[in-house]
Amino acid sequence: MFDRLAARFPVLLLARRNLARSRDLTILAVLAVVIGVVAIGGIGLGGEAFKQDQLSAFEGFGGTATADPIDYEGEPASERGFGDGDIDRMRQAAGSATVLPVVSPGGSTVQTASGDIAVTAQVNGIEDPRAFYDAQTGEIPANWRRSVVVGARIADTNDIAVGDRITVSVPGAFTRAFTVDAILEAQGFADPLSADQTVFVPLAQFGEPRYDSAVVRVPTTAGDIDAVAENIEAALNVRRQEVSVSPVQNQRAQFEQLFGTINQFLAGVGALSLLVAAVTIANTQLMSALEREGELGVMRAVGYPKLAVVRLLVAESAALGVVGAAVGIPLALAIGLVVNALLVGDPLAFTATGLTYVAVGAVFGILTALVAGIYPAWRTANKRPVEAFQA
Amino acid sequence: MAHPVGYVPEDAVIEGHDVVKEYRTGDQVVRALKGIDFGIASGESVAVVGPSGSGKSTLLNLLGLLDVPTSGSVTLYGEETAEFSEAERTQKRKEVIGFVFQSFFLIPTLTARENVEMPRLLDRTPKRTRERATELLERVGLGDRLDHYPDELSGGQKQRVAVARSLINDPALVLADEPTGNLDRKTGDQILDLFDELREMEDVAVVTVTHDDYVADAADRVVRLIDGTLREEN
Repeated sequence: MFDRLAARFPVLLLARRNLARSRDLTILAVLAVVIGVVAIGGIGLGGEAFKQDQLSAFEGFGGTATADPIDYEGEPASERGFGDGDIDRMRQAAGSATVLPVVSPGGSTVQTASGDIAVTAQVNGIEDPRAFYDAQTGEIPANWRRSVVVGARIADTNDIAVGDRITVSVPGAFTRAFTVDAILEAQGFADPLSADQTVFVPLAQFGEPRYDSAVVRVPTTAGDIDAVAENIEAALNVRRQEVSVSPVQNQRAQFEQLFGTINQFLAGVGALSLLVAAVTIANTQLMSALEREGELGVMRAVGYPKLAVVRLLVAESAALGVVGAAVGIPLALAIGLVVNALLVGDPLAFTATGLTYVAVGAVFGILTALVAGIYPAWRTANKRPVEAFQA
Repeated sequence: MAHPVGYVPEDAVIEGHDVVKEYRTGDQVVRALKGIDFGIASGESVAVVGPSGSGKSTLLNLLGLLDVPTSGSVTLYGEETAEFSEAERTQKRKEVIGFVFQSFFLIPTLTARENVEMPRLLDRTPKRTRERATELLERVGLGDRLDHYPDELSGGQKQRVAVARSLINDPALVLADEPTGNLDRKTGDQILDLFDELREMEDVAVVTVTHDDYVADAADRVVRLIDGTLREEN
């Protein structure tokens, strides 16, 4: 097949023979392109797999939103957050959706039975965790007033077990020891209350509190969380903005976008390696042209137009790019297979975006090689044949 | 047959009148040719001799359309070469002139036949080119070395390949720059004989540039260059 191609494009024959001549340099230049293509494609595919893995955390939060109060400067503490009246109005506006008020006191500490402080733990006061969460071990009592329920991650890292007594201290409210009645199932980072990091305390412990936020959830089968969010905002934001309701899915979209941007940035860093490839190829071609100055001068003398010499040399560097891309694509896909298997659980879970990265990497690899070859080619072709003779 | 200094034959392929060529090196101007007349008739054999620095290479470059004179006129079939564009000069070189170099300048990655084909490789007439290249290699006695690479050939064989290459486009003029310079006397003689043979068969003028008087003896006519001017041959 190559012979037919060579007869049609004699420049290819010359180019291939020349590349074969300086085999080591050729291999190095191809390798530089391979690294660039693999960097862009591999980072793209890996990032996509990571994104899929992370976004799976949003599964199960489709009908959930968080309602955050909008506080104004100079507002007295007694009017900050939500009051019981606000929650009632939200519930009216929410129809069949559940509205769960939350107290998230700042500066709280949790001390385990062994006396260690659980540093990353946060404390949330809610009415009934059963509305949202299931217990992994233990049981959440129906009339929950005196014990605590602990998130999976906090329990794991601090060796907290059902039946332990832990001390929760909330500045300005209480410092009390509670029995752990249940450890919750892991929820992932998309949970609006960060349940995995949380020690849940019954709301009753806070007396007559102001709420820091509320979680809204529509019944799984029916209900449109976006509509509920709008209703609540419409009902409460009458005189001025009092509440902002944001469905978790919106956060997912933002999150997805953020990931996309980070991935593009990383692939851009990967693309820098193609810059190195460009330098390598330009260097290879300059050296090779210098070495062949006599031959190229003869070609010019026997009637090869300048452009034919440029074409020959550019064909050589473009061939480096094509071979580099041809080797790089399967390597990048292989990396994708492994990362997909590890993160998503399915080796073939390629996304269109991920494959686009590979294609972009390949195209950039070829273009880089081609562009890198232009200057050496132009410089060589512009030497007068006479100069080439006397070299 | 003696000719006067600066003899210009009537049916010249290429001829020059009052040709001056100057080079600038740094802020110095070197006058390599100081106003000479010359002409090469079709089918004749001319030796250009002279010590190094006498302007031989400069004259060769002008004859080969690789350069144009600073003043005076060089015409190819009556057309002023200085008025050609670079692309036109390249095209004329291809059509009219063949080159043979002292150090052969074969492309090491191409076989003997591919090297002979090289000047016509871009012409998209692969079959005709191949036939002609094979014929020429047979004529220079390398019919059994068609697919050998240059590093598998002796110096004399390489120069034969180069001679065949110079003829692939059926030129009117072959310019040979010290064609025997890298060869021993016996091999050199064979190359000179080959030139004579081909000149008759292909009806091509051969200009040999040399500083070797013995090469000059083989030519019909000798042009002696000394310090950029022509001297009477005796």
